[in-house]
Amino acid sequence: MRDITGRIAVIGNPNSGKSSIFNHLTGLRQKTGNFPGVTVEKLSGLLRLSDGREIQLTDFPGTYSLYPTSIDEYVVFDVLSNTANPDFPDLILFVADANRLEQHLLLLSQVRDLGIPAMLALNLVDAASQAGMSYDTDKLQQALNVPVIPVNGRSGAGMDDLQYHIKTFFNHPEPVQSQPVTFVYLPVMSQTVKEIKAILPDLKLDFQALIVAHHANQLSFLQPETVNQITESCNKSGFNSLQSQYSEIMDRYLVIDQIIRSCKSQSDTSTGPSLTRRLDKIVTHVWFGPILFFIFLFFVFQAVFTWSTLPMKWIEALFHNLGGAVRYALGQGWLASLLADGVLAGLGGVLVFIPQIALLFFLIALLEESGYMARAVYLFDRMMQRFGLNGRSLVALVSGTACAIPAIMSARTITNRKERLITILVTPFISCSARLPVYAVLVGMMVPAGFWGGFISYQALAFMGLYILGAGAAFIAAWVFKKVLSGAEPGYLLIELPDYQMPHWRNVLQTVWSKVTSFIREAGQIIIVISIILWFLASFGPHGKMEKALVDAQKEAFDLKLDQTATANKIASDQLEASYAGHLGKGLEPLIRPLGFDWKIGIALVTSFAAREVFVGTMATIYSIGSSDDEQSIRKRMMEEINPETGKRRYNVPVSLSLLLFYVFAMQCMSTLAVVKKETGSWKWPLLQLAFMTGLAYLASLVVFQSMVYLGVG
Amino acid sequence: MVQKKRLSEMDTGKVVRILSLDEHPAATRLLAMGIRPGAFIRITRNASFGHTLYLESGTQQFGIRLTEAVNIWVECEI
Repeated sequence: MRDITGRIAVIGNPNSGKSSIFNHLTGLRQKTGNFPGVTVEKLSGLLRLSDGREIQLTDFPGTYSLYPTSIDEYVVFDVLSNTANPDFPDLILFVADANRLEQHLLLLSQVRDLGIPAMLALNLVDAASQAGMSYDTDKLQQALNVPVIPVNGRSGAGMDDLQYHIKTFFNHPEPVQSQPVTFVYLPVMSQTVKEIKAILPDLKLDFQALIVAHHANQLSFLQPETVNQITESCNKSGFNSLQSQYSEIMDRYLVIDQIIRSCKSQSDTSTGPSLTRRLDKIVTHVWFGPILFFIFLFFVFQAVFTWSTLPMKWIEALFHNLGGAVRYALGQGWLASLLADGVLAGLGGVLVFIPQIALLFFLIALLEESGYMARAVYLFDRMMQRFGLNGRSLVALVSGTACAIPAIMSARTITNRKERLITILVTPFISCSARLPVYAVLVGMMVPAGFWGGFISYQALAFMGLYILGAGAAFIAAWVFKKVLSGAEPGYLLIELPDYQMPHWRNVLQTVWSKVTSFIREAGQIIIVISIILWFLASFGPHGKMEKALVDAQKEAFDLKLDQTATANKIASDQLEASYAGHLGKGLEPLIRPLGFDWKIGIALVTSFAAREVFVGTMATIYSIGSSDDEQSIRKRMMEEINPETGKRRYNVPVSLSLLLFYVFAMQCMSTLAVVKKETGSWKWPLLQLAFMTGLAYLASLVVFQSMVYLGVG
Repeated sequence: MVQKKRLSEMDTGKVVRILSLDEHPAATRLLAMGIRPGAFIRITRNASFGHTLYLESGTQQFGIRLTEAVNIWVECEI
């Protein structure tokens, strides 16, 4: 690790332009991590000063005050109120929007009262002056007692000045002050403050003590006994948290209003409603609003589906060739097989998702940056609320038609914990692109290729039905979770609808970069391990069984006078049957027989756990079609398969339908489980998801298959 | 005549002045977002599925649920 001269926390309200300034100062030298103990993402980067010293900047989540309503905002006070926290800053770079300075100074005044040295980057001063607002920065500096630096996060203006001030600060860093810097006197609850200072003698400042009083049971650095002591003392002194917050904020506004009056001049330049409000007449219109939303979503869906096909093919081809190269270099041994079929195949399975993830996050970041996303949340909040979801859940659900992984990651924008959790839990019900090859094979076998009324394809209707089935399951499951899960946090909407703006490319690309790299790093590790396990199961068998299968298959192939390819296919098929995976399939057979499945489908179910699309490849191996993943030939071979017990087609309508339903509902994607684990920070939720989705799949297949058999269909 | 009412009871299109906020966990956030006593707000419109208000205050726009608007007392002329 490099030597770091100091730490800066970048703090500010949401929509203050904080991230733009952070990006300007650190460039690409950023990395994401987590704040210790919580699953809130931490973005930090390095700023190199002109004299070569390096400063670590951390971009804290935007918050309105130190009284947070979401887990993101909670991090801000947890870090800032604990001088022993490894992320505790030497300096706070406070970013405020000059257009809304009154409101943004509230948080600055609270942060100042924690005694941490600060400087104010006054963002968008130029835009404010166009709207007729101008500030006397010298007066402002005096009144706030912090350096004030006018900047523009979009154009980069003022960044040199900001760096100069940072450099000057770190030449003679001020310590955290133990004298009150309060520019607001806090008469509230002085008794409580006194008692808390007695319990925690390290606290020097009144406001630190007050923060502890408000949040004692949420602060990660307090011992449980201390928390009890504090709660007791608060109860005794009649401390009313809500009332205290209210009067504190009102007191602060009194002082802030005074400062603003003395430093700000406003000329009237009003030219009627702003562009934002004129646009919102349509964008948030009762009818046009939702219509526009679905047009946008359709575009996003379409783009993710079509634009990512080519790069996904490249990645697949790359890993296919890499595997070939490894086999060529290492020969036939188990090491070559482990590398090619286990590690590389697993890695390829992860990296193949990158085009979709990058593209989806790119488009979502565009919608976020432009200010549109807040409108979508406003529009659909009520409808989604009925299902225990949030306006933002709709974005995740529609993204899920491409791939559940980026969709689940996009749920981070939901501030309410319960609404976010439900979104994560139900999103995988949406039929993703990996189910498509499976649907294609089974629908093709079951539904005739004709057209209804001459132009609507029966098969297309069947496809649509499967998507609707998945979406319906997602909403019903969400509703059930809403009833079952407890939600400690009250649900809020209270959303700021920021002015529309041209997306800032730098921010958009930074977002895509940080999401993609964090996906590769964290989900990748788990996926590779599981791939290796699956490879082992398919490549090895109980003692001597694999060797015997090889010898028998070779002998049989010789007797049948099979050609070279057919022989290789037969060997692969027989060896798979003899492998642990084959034994697993046979072991599963009693369990899946009621659904109409045999041990061959059992193997496909086992391998499909890696990813659903593996179904097609596994079927190809089982039915000795070779390594070709061609859906046509697999479908043809499967239709010829005879059930030895009935002497009729194995894949008749009941079996095909039962299998289809299973793939609509079941959780068969370890990448998704890995991401859910990462996003929720616990194995409990992915395991629950695995259980209820697969349970529902089993039940649906069982009921449909058994009733069709009872009715004599097929 | 001036009357004191809850924001949730107001019709869209009205401009009102905020008098006070009820003691409610949402109040702190409302205040911190700039929806505070003394501020003028316009109730611009309702969302498509109801229950959510589009507010304008100063140079800002907000979306808030009716359940949150219940806690805001406003002054209106009748």
